[in-house]
Amino acid sequence: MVKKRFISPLAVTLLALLLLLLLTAMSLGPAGIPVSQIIHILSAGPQAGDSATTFSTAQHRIIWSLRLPRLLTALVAGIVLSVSGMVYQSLFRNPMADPYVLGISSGAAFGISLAAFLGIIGGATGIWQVPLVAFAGAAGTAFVILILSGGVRRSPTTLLLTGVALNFLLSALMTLFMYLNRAQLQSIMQWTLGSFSSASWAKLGILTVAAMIGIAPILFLTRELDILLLDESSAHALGVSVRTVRIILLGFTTFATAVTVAFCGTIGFVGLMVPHIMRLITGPQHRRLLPFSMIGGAIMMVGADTIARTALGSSELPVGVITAIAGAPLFIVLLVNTRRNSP
Amino acid sequence: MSPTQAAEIKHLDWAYRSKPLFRNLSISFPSGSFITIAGPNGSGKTTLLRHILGMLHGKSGSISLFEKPLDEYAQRELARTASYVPQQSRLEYDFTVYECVAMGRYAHGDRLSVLQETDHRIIKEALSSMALSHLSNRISTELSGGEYQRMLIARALAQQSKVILLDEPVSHLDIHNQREILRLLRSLVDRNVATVICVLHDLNAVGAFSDLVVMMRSGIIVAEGTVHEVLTKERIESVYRIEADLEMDKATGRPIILPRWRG
Repeated sequence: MVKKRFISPLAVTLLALLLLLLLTAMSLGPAGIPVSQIIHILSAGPQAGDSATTFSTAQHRIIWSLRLPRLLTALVAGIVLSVSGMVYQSLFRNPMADPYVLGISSGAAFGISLAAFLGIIGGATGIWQVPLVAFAGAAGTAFVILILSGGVRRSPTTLLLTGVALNFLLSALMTLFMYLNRAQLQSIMQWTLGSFSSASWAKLGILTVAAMIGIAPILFLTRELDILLLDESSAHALGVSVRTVRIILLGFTTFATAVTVAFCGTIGFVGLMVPHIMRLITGPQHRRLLPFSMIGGAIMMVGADTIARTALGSSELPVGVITAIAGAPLFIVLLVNTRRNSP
Repeated sequence: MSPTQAAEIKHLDWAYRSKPLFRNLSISFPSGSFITIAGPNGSGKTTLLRHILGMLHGKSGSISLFEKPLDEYAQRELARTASYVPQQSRLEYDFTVYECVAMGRYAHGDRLSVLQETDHRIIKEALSSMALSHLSNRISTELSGGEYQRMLIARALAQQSKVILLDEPVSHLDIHNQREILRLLRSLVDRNVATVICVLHDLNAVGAFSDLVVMMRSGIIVAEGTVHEVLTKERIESVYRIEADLEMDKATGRPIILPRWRG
């Protein structure tokens, strides 16, 4: 069978969908604002709250200070998690690998919890410190997983089970911290469930810079990622410095993931689900898969956050609950398929 | 003047988990030849190929490709010099045949650039010389065993390397496909496209296609030379611990080996 892949019209459609979703999401919430008014508010700019006649100051504030930074944070987080998932899946040659499943995200949350427990970070912490301890936790966890699972060469199952076991251990330790210091219970909970409710322009700025740093090297390594899907000796013989490329890609995506966890908490299954769906559309070539994973991750996360924010009316759901309900069934399907295909 | 050595190993020592396999192993592979490596399972044939490709590193000894020490090669330069067709490597992702062969161009040109006009021409030539042109848009996972193996060789050809190393390229194929692939490899040598170093199990194929044969057992090179020098009844019987008859094909002058399966 010959498979033809027309991608550009689809990319345009998806981008239009994302834009539509953003506008709809901005209008939804406890205070409903019609889309037509949102366009006025947005075109008025961030400072023009008082002089306008078509909308109220309150409406301007809701959009510019609350909903817009939050939606853009969800958008960037979705891009980071989706691209990280794509990179992990290719590097480990495992359809189920992703920073969340392997416990890297929990590692970042654990780093934050431990620092909070030890009093390194607390009430008056600078905005930079949380991402740093998150990265330390994530990198440490990635290192432990690589050691325990015998590197990337072992069977997919060994790697997954190591990640699951570490996830258990880290969750247990975080629960322990919460019990030992009940005052921090609320703030630690926030990182384990995932939420965009504390989004701000300042955090969004840092997250965006981290996302660009984390994703930039991947743009230049798409051919290497394709070749890394082959066995290691083939990749070597084709001229790829397997070890160097792996370390760079793992390091940068882990960094971006950790910063995302620091500001948004651990949100699962986006990194697992989006690259899979997009691979069905674009095929395995990363040059095409990467932009589609970015758009798909953004759509998925903005959609999930909007549901989390509005489904219950007055109170909010953690966004991780929404992504898990959507993504966990896919994980089970993949697991069953992998087991069926392996000898 | 002696021919250039495509690969030369000198005094190689190597152990797997403190169990020594190679002790002071030296061998050279002259360029422009079809060289096969034969020997029982576990004799170190694959390990030897992996050393030549710089994937494994001995405790001592030296390896050079075309008179240049292996450790002076940059990774991509090495890929332009030696290519590899591994044993039983099946890709699980839906790359097309063309995309797979295009991976052979990674070591050429600018690292960041997309494929150029020249690259596409070379990919098409590689596909055509492996009789794969009509399958270039096919998804690689849908190929038959013989087609898949030809695709891997086409990928190696796209690398435009001076030497191609193959690890049992035909061992899971039927006789027709075995012959097709070995003929294609033979023609690469005859047309001066590349030197071929190939691990083969079928001694009749070794006898029919090789210029030179290297016979290994337990990490030791027990014999090297022409087909007639290496493939003797006594040597086959002792290396493989079987009884065998050896006849000469009158048409080709090549040996025919008949192992006695029973009795």
